[in-house]
Amino acid sequence: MTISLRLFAVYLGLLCLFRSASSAAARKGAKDQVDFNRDIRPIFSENCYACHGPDKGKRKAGLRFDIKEEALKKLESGDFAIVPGKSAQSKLVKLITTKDEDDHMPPAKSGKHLTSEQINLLKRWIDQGAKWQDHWSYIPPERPELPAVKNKKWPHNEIDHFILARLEKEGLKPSPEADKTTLLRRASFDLTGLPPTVAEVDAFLADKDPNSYEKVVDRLLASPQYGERMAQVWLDLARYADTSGYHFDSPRYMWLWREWVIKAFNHNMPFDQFTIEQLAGDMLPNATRDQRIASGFHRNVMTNDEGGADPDEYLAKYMVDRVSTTAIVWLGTTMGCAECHDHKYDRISQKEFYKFYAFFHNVPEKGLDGTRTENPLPRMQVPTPAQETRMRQITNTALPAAEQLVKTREAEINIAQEKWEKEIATKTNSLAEPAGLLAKFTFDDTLAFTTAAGTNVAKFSSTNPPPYGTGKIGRSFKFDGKGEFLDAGQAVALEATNAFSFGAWAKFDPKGGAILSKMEDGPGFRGFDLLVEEGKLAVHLINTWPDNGLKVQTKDAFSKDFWHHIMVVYDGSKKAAGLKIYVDGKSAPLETKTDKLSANIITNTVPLILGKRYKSLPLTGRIDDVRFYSRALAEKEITVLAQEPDLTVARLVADKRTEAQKTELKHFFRENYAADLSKAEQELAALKQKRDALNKEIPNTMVMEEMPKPRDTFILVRGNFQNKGEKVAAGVPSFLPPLPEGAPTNRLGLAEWLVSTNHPLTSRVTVNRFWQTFFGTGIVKTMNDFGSQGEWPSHPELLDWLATEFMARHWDMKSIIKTIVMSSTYRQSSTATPQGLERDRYNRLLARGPRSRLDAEFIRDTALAVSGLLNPKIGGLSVRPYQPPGIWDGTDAKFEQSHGEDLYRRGIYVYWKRSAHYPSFATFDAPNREICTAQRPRSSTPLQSLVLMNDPVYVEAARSMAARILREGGSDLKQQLTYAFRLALARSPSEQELAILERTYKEQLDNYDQDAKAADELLKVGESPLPPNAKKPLLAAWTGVANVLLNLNETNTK
Amino acid sequence: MNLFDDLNKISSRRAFLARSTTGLGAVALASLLNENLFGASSSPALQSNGALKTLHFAPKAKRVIYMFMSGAPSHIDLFDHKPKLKDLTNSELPASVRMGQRITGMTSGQKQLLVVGSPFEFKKHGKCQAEISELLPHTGAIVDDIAIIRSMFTEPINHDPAVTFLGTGNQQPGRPTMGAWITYGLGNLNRNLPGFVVLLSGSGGQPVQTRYYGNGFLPGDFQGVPFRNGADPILYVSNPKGLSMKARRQLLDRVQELNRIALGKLGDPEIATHIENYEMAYRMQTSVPELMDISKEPKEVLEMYGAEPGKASYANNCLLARRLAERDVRFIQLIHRDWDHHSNLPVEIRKQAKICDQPSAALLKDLKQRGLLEDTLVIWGGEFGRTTYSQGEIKKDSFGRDHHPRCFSIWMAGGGIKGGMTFGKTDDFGYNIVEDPVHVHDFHATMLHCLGVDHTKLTYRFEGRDYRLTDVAGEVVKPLLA
Repeated sequence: MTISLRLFAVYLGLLCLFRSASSAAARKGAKDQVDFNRDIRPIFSENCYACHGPDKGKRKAGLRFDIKEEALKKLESGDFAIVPGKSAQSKLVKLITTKDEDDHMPPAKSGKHLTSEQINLLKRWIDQGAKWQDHWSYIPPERPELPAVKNKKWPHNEIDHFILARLEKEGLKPSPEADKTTLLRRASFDLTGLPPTVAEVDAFLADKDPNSYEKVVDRLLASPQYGERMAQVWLDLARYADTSGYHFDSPRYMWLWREWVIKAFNHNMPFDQFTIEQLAGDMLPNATRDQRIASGFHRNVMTNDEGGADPDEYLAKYMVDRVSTTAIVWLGTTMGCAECHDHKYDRISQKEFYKFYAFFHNVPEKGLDGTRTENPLPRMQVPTPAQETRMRQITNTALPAAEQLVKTREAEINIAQEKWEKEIATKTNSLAEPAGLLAKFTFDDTLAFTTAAGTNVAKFSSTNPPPYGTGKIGRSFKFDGKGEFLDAGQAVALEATNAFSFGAWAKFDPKGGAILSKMEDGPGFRGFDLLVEEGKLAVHLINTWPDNGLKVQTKDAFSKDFWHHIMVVYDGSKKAAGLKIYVDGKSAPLETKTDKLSANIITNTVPLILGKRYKSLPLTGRIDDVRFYSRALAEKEITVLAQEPDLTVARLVADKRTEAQKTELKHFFRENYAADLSKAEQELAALKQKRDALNKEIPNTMVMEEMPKPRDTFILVRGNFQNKGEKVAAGVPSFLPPLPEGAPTNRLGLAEWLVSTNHPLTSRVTVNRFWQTFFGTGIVKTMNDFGSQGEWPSHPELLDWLATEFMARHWDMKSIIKTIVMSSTYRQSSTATPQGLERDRYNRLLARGPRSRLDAEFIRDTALAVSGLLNPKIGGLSVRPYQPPGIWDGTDAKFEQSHGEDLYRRGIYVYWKRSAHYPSFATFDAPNREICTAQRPRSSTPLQSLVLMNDPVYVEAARSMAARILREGGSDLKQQLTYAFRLALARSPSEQELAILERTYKEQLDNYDQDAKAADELLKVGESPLPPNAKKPLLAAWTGVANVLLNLNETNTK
Repeated sequence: MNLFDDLNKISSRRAFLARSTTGLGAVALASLLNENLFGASSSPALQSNGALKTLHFAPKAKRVIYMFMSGAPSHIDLFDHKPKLKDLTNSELPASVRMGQRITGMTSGQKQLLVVGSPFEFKKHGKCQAEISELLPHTGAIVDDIAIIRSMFTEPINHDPAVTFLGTGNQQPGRPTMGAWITYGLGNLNRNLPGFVVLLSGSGGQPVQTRYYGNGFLPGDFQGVPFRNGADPILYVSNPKGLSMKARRQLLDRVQELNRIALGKLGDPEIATHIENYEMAYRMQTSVPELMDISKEPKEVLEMYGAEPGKASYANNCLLARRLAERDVRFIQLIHRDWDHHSNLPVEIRKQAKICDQPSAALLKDLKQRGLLEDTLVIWGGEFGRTTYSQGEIKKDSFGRDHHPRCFSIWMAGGGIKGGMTFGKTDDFGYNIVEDPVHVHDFHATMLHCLGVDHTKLTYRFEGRDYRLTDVAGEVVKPLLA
């Protein structure tokens, strides 16, 4: 609602603008009039601003040429640099023309030099009155009148008036309209990034309606591929990537944001809304999930996690990047220079830089992201509808029910326990001590132990006092895992041929160690032990390890939170089957690890040791009531041993129990008498696990958020994060309009400001970018510099017409793009004549249509499309197509290639690893997206030829295209060759071209007929299946033909 | 018509097209291109086929071999002998030395910064009597040909920004690296190979990002091209199995025939470039495998380097660097990982020194005996130094050293550099520079000077600003010049 109201306001504002007199038309009239912005400012900027410009730190003689009043004022010397109307009296002119090397400006050592033409311009400008203008791009665009043209028939829409007027002025003529096939191909690439299909070409050629082209444009704009094509440009600007960038370059997951961008373009979201949601979607009232996803734009910034790096330093870098990126994308301005000092060319002071920085400085994020596996905070979960339903079911229904059940059971059981305690209190011990005791340790503040022969004392390995503590029965002994132990001498002598039992109460850490042992050191390890291994219990009986011994281990691990009663019972059989481990009175399920004992295990060379093996495995935990018996105890007896201490506690009056005893008793009762509760608890735990697993499965995406208490922002002196200067508040640069009335001074206000009606830059910068997308070069060539160092627009009035029109159409992107591609200018043939090239090599005047190499992604998309492999799925996770081994070797990540359909998705979905870019894209100038890219370079290199010749993506595409030709191209060779040609190039081949293709086919068929094995090898490239019953030499020959077609300049050029 | 930026485009094309205009003769546009390509240059010695039409002064070096030791070798244990540290071991680093300067998060939490002397012996070598650690005996043997700089310093304190700074003159990613600047400015001398080649070795240690040899905002032609071990030394240089060289030639001939028809019809000079690129790609298909095959090198040469054909190693890369230099590749960048010795330094540095010492010295000797050292600038070193204090406990045989940007040692040799000297001095702790500091910008300025380039004049306009490798600073270090 707010947006539509505001849009209405924009519209009203523009109506007012249109009524005001246009000075643009007046400007262009006077031919000899020097234009300050066009002619003079670039001279000042390039040659003078370094010492006489905005940077006060570097300013000489107190003179600056970027502000009128300052340039015209009286100098300290009494002279005037500029005397309007009188160049001869102007000191400026004297100094740029003097022969005196010491005085000459610009000074020789600056390396700057004025041409005589520039000197003349300066003189003429002063003589004409030294008329000053604000920098053109900082004045809001005014609606220009359409220039008159002689050739009234040529213009299709307003754009053409501006282009044609300039061409006529230069004495040039536009080119004729491109033929229909070329036009369709151009529009298809420009609006979808894909070539037209043969059927689309045929339909267009057959459509004789004068509006047939418009129908095509409408179809393309409405196709879902339009969003992908437009997103490709936006992803470069937003520095979208799948990894964090700095140092470890950890993975991140921002594909939901990418999907949002594609959808926004496809739904034709107005550019103002597109802007606001991406910069501040999180701050909109009742922000929707999509708006919060959109706010991830500035979370695409690179982040770091290098050990030892300073978080404050990197946090500052993230802010600097956000300022620079915002300035390039919306303001077409490089603000980065002002990080360390006042801007040298544009009126952005260092203070203003940090005021802008303050807008972004309130995100609750960390300077070192602290995660190498997932998205750093803040982030938002984005479940699918199915996941949402599942999650709702768990959290709203299942979990509360399970929790309630546990509570109910617990209450019941507490009552039952009370009842049980009363019953127990009346009963006494049920069984006498089992017979056959060999030794017993109590640790009741003593190391004395009883044996059949009498009392003995164990030796503690340390000189410290023995660490007794609370026990299961009385006191216990504590081992801290550092290797201290108790030596009980030859207290027992157990032999494999005899039955015996031993055990203890123990409370142990799962990391393990030996509870007790009488075992020699390796190799051999003769003897026995009782071990904790990752929470499980294990027993060895060994003659000589590993060939003669047995080992069993419990299948379950036991909680470290409770005391456990352990009793090992052995029947003298030398078999694992003859050994049982009772835990808490019950026979524990065992796993036999080794069962090869056939000889004696007795040893008297080592003592019985508690808390360790002879030289290894120190225990972390407590032990109590260690016992050895000379027979196999019966289960009943063990149950008594295991239950008695708890029963003893149960018999105590409740308030005499210690907290630990209460807990143990509760545990004991639940384990033994309350199966219902533990079942309910298990169900609850399982549900929680399910919830956690689902949480992990639900994708999340990084979003912006505001901190409750914003961070303070300071000017960082010379950009150094450790050197804080003046404290500043958020604000916009003073050379631009102030924040709109009523707008908050925060990110949301900033976003609204960018798309406010009187902003001079946003609309110009945006339409200029569209122009670049379709014509290869912007009207202002320097996409990211509309400042004084930027290039003068090739068609200033056209730029302003488009900018005002864009706003008048409520920032409707599809509509303004349609106007561009419907223009006669766009529809011209791109054929270049030598004269045309000589006159206007880079086609800035547009006397011919645009022609340029496709971008990296679209080259691959094209190969996939013409081969029939392309998977048209939109959105989702990034994919990893084939790449040679070793590309990621320099990084810490392991490349895992995708398979199946994912191999054939469009380039926009290819995994973008900043530190090791997908190689064939890098070769075709796709940026690694470390920073904002407004303009890709477009190089042409032999390495690109190698990619198209040999990259498996293209070899497989050729093979698949070959199969397609055989499948769809008819039976006659000429027909097939023509079809192949049209798949790649849309147009039909000439006789000469057809002959070359035919020769290709015959040569290759000859090769593969002679060498069937080679055909076999060639056709193995790529994971897609071969057609059934393929004639391999034939298919290989056609693969050759397809390879030729995929390598043509024309195939990869729009 | 290609719609991209004029000069860059043309110069980049020219970089690859140098001396290969044969096929273009028929193209009507050749003269148009040429007019813009070849500025009238005063003397042949000053001619360049890069963006700089004329060099600023007569070059001493035509090409550069940079042995980059990633992770940062300890200057104190290799080049900068500090005998007093032995007695000071286990004592706190004096505040007067530390001067409150920044240290990394890895040691800033340590209760003490205890100095630890080098456990290695240093010996004087050669006529110049340069002191070198026992870990580098082979380097000791070449001291009379190299200039050791003990007073290098940099600004960043962590690897990623420091490698980026050393590479580009700026800590933040986005700018072109040395190799990209130099091939952009000077062009390519070889018609069959890229002008900027990268050879990687070692494993573990700090990650190596492609931007460490990237082109930044320069066109893609100037990015470093990694030459890899194995079947595909340059990506996709090998035909797929089942496609013979004969078939490839046939296919290419047909591609070219069709491209020529398009050129005649559309008149776009881009198509001419495309045609030339395919010819060069084809030449690479034979020249690159030949270049990478070191098996035919004489036994004594292989032994000198410690190289073994078919194996991936730093030694092999050093030998390949010589072969690339012979073929006039402009910038040859070796990157060897695993010099980041935060702990267990005495053992780890010995390992790396053993891997790197002999091949590095062999490369220098080999270049010299072939007369290539005269016009090849050779550089060896890391991104910063290491601390005089230990990271972690000092044990009898073990300690670590943290990152130290305030001083470090590198060596330079060959074209334009005075051999047999040591330059610069650090304090008794190897902590601060006391004489002749050389900033990374100064080092870059000096490197460019040896190549005949005034560092302030090799610029590229981007985002409204003329950028250069040395940012807004840098002085040529004249005493290093021959």
